[in-house]
Amino acid sequence: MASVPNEIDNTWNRPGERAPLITGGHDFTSLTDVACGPAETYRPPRAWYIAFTISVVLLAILGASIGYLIINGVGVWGVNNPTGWGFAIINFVFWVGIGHAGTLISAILFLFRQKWRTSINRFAEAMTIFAVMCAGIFPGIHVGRIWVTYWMGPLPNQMAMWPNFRSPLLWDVFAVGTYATVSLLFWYVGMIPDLATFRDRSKNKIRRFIYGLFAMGWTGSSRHWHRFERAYLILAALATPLVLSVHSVVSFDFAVSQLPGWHTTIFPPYFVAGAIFGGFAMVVTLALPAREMFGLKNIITLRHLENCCKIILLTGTIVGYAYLMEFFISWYGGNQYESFIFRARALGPYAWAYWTMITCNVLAPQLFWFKWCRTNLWVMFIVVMMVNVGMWFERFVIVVTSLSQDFLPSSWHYYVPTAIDWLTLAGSFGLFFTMFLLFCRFLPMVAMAEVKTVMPHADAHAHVPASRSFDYNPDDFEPEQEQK
Amino acid sequence: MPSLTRDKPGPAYWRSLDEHANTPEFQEFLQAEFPTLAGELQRPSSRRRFLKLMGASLGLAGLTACRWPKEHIVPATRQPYDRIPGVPSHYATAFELNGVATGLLVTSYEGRPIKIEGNDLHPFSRGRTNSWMQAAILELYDPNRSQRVVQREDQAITPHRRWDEFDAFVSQHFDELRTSRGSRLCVLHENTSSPSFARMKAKFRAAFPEAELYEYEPISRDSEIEGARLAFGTPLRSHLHLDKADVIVSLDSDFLMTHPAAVKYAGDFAARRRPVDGKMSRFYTFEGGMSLTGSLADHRTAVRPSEIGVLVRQLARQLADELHVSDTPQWLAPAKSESSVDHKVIESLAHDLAAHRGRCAIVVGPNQPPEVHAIAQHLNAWLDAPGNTVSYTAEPDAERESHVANITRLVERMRAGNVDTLVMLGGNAVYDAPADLEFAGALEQVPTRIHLSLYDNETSQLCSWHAPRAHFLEAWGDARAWDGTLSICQPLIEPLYNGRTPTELLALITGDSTTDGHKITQATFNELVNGDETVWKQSLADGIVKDTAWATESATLAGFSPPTSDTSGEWDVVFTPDYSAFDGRFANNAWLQELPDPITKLTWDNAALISPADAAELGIDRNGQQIEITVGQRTLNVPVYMLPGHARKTITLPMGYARTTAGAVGDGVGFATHSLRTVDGMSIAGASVKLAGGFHELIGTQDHHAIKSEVGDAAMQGRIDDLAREGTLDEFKHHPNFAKHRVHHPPLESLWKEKDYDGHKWGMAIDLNACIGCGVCSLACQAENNIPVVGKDEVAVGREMHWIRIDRYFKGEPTAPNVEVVHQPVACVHCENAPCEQVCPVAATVHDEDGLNVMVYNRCIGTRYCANNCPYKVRRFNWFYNHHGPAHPRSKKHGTSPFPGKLAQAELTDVEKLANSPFVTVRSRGVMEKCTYCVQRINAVKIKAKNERWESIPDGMITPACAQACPASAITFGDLNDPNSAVRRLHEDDRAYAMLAELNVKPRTAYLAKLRNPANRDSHTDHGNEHT
Repeated sequence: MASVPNEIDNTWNRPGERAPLITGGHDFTSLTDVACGPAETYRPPRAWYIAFTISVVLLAILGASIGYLIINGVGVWGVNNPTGWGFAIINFVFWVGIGHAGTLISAILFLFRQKWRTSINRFAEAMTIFAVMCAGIFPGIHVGRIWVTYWMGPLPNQMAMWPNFRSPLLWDVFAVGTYATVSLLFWYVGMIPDLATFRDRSKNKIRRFIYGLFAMGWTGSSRHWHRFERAYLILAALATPLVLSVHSVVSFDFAVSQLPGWHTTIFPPYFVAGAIFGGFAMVVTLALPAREMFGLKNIITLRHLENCCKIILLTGTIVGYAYLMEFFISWYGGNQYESFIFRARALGPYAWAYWTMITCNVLAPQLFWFKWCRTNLWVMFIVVMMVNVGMWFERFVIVVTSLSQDFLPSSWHYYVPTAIDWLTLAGSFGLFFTMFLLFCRFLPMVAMAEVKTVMPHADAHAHVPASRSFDYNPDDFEPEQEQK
Repeated sequence: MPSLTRDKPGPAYWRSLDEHANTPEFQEFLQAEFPTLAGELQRPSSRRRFLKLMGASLGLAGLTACRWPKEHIVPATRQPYDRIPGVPSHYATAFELNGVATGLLVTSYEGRPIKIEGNDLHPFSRGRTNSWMQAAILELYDPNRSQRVVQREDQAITPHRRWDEFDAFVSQHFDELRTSRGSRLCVLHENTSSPSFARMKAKFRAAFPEAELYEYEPISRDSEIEGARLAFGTPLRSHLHLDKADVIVSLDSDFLMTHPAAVKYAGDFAARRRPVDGKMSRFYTFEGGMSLTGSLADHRTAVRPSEIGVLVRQLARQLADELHVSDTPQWLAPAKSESSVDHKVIESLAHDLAAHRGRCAIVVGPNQPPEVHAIAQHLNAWLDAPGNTVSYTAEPDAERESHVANITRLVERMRAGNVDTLVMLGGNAVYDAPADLEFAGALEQVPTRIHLSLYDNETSQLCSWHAPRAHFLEAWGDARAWDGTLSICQPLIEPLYNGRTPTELLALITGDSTTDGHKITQATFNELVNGDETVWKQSLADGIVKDTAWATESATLAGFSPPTSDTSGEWDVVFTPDYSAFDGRFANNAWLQELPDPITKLTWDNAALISPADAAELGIDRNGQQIEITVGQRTLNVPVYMLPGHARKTITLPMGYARTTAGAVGDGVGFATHSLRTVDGMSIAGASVKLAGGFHELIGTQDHHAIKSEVGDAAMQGRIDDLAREGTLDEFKHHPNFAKHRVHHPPLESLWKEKDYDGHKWGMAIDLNACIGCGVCSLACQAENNIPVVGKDEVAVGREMHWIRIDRYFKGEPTAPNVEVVHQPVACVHCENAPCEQVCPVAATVHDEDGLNVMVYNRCIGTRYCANNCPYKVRRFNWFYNHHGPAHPRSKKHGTSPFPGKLAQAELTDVEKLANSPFVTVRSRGVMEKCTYCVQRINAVKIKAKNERWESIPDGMITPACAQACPASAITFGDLNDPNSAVRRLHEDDRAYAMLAELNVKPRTAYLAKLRNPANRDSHTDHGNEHT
């Protein structure tokens, strides 16, 4: 990875002047060339091959461990009698959380006219899709009788049985299902103009056919652009509440139950903040090597990364506040079971997990108060990796500590994951990275059409210095037919 | 092929190329395979005769395999009045352990026994059972039981001998012996009260006047018998009437668990633990290890077992003062030394006893030497206990030498080469005889060794003949209860493996004309009882023969000078029967192995139980660290379990483990504590102990080491009194509903309108004061509800399946000498506002119209959310297909990780399947299960009530398995809508409370708070300082 001096520093803030979002003197053509490069080259960088090999091996491990699980039963995991949920649910919550940053970037930042989102929104959205895929696996395989998992869906059946609509697990099915659908749609719709670019630049028939199929006959006409902008806006509006709702609903799995440590009203906002926190960490985790691997440093600039770091700092602090508030309430509430479980988290048998979580989630992001840390790629990388670990441990702490030490001390039992647990977790990363690397190789990982709108050239007064506003207003702006 | 050419003489017809070649190997094979036919087969001309023989033997084999009683070969042309297909029938029989029988009522379904209950007509069962009785069903269907006669002669094992071959051998062998009057013949048998066996013994003695009979039991009451002989001049059997005792003193006695009359005693004891008019019994215990009985004491004092002899004299001196006994008895004279027990404790105890003359009893455990028993008998007499709280009958077989003396004499005789034939009827002497006798070595001196046994066990392996013994559920027999009441044991099923009883085998050896158990039993009955066939039938139906109890004897005290027993040693080692394996005979019973020990909660293991303070001194900080115990020349490495409340410098070693040929379940489980037992130290021995290094993971169902933490321990101490509530009798008298005020919570409101249950409203009440914590409810539930056994590794990860468990909590400092113990049975409490139901995404757990929280196994997909949300953690998940046979690798050895590729999910064998009740679904993998309040029993009665148009279901008609088995009657079940039902009254009792009611789950099971009745010592003694 490159060190800072090689980067073009666009993180400055000068009154009356805007820092450029795209550096390196790109115009539309060169930007298209760079963005299409990874998908058009015959030989992707060696790093891609190495990463892809590792990912596919991990994916195979995922398949094998799920097969082993299905053949033998859930007992191959470390779950036990008080601790009915283990890695599967931890991983589920972890992956669903990861997805949130993508939606936040593409929907909420879009509505808030945050132009810097354009450079990272496409792969952040892709990350969302793949994370939701990973997440979706776990509730399916963690049940005892995998072959009847579909009973969770509201399907007409010979038993005339509906699922139990009072169960938060059922809400999950709907929440995550909706989320996956909207995210996929949003991602795909936003990609159509870029797919058309790919189609138009294709040098062989197969590529042209496939990209053409998915570009759905995009011609770039004003009418197309108009409909596209409208659809995108509507989808963004639809996706925005999902950012808040999905993880709220996931948190209901815990909050609606009556277990000490789960049954708390702070869970929905705390989960959402945590999800965005973890999601942005994953965005940066992906962006750092990707921009290096595919030469996108001028598109995903230091300023973008710094902005992500700022969000990580903000959400990390919110999460830290939530941890603190949980402790306060457990004391203030005076419920002995509640107060015990929080003391046990910090001082009990899982203290190692708890303090790992605190170190990674609360302390590490505080480095981002310093600009040097926000702009140093290595520091950034270490911190976001810690946040990834910390956010996984947050779910571990929530799921495991509460279950293993609930009301009756006679039932208390330590939870120890088995090798299959670990392999399944590692395997889910295999799925995620396999999908992501394939995405980088075959789909437009930079939203070219959108990035171009935030370049000075998009402005009708392009000769005006960069200090002019780049505000993009779809209503009064007709994009150029940039490529033929 | 040259070998096929007829260039050398060979048979004209051949069955294989080997035969044609007629090699020596083939000849050998022929001899081994068809020993009786070898001659025929080698004569080529008699192929036709060979076929005839084979045909005939096949036919005969078919006949012997026929399982119907030969007496009733005509099929019924009309349905017998009591046989309705699908409707189970019940037969009375009896379970005999160590020579004492307890009556049982066995449920039989389509000709196979599926469930054991106590016989309510039997005075020592009264409808109740203990764990060993409940588990007998699994033993009956144990595929590891011996199935064939085995001959082992000079290393050659012929495992497929038939009974007729054995019979032929016996008649030939013993005919020869008869001519020599059996001078070199010995018989070793178990302790049994069977009159038929006694009658057959007499016949045997007549046939072999010079033969000798020996009786041996590894766990014996000999010391108690000897004590009675010292005290009364003649051995009398003591009968406690605990229901009349206001003050009970136990000296190292576990009379609620391992006493032969424990089932009755538990009931009597529990009856007096319920406060009636503000009164309940007070119970003092002085013991070394913490027995379950001791854990219930109001005043428990941990004292080295070897000190109890001193202690009881101290008590006697104190009592002599209190009661103004004028002439100091002879036995009081020696031993002026003082025990380590605070004298004030003894003073106040003596005062309390003196204040309750005629209403108190002192009980001594069988591990104590005879003089302690004798002194206690004297003290009981001083306290007017005889006739009130204690009565006496003659001890049967009074002239018998002690079991240890018996086996010692036998071994001496064997070693001297004076035994040519040894017949062992039951037992497992190679395993459980005193270790210093080296029984196995002596056995080799005996040319002909015959062993009748339920299993082809350690002893059988060293015998020339092993014959399968019939299980008591498949055989005729008779036995006497603790008070002599005779029971006829009738078979519930034809012997699965053609086993025979000891009585039958003895008859065969004697050469008696009747070797059929049925006829022998009936003949004995006719001798004992005047009456016709109707009396026999009535006795069979009732399970007891009326008026056969022994007459009560009056006891006159005799002076005695006590032998000075001295167990010197830095440490006391105490051998106790294990609550699961007993003396090792139940080691292959997976239900018992997985039933947690009521005190330690350990499963699938035994351990050296020592006090935490001693452990700390030895440098032990974790259960499972091994110590080396040296008794005389013998050493043993055993893992330690630190038991709070255990006496200092004392080690309790439960016996019955480290079996080597017990079967798939019991082999290699636990540690060979029996190997430290010697002739002189069968109960208590002096020992030295040191840390051995090494670690063996002990697996329990509670108190897992890894989850232990300081915050956890602190929180536990804080909340136990909210969960298992207790108070003192005084507190109860002043504040009867104190239990309801242990936890205060805001009014419990519901978000929605709750359903009213105006039909039946089933509920349960569990009296913590009555509960003795024995765990038979868990086992009865397991037997009733087809609950699988999961094995040690699965218990280690917390996956045991018991639907009802006993939570055991210690109270106080672990290192303090007197911790208090609470036992709390917990099963599904059937919350009306059930948190499990709310969260199930597929509605697999719902309420029925009576308010039962039911599990729909077919609908369950196994999300386990219900278990997570259950505050009582009573839901059990089938992590694997748990109904495996004993071949399951995880049920055998600890240390095999459950992955990868180790998950043999073997089907049950056909015999094992018979043990399952057809009335309860066998749950598959991936399904949640839990207590149903025995819904199959509820529905059976409801259906009957509907068919027969009852106006209502009478209270007590429905009893879940746990409640039915409970010897203490601690569990009550019934309809809460019936204003007169017992359960309703208990729910309205002052002591009743709902555990975790503050969660607004509205449990249907109420607990009744535990009461302790400590003596108010300030008012009794001049010494002010309290000692509790």
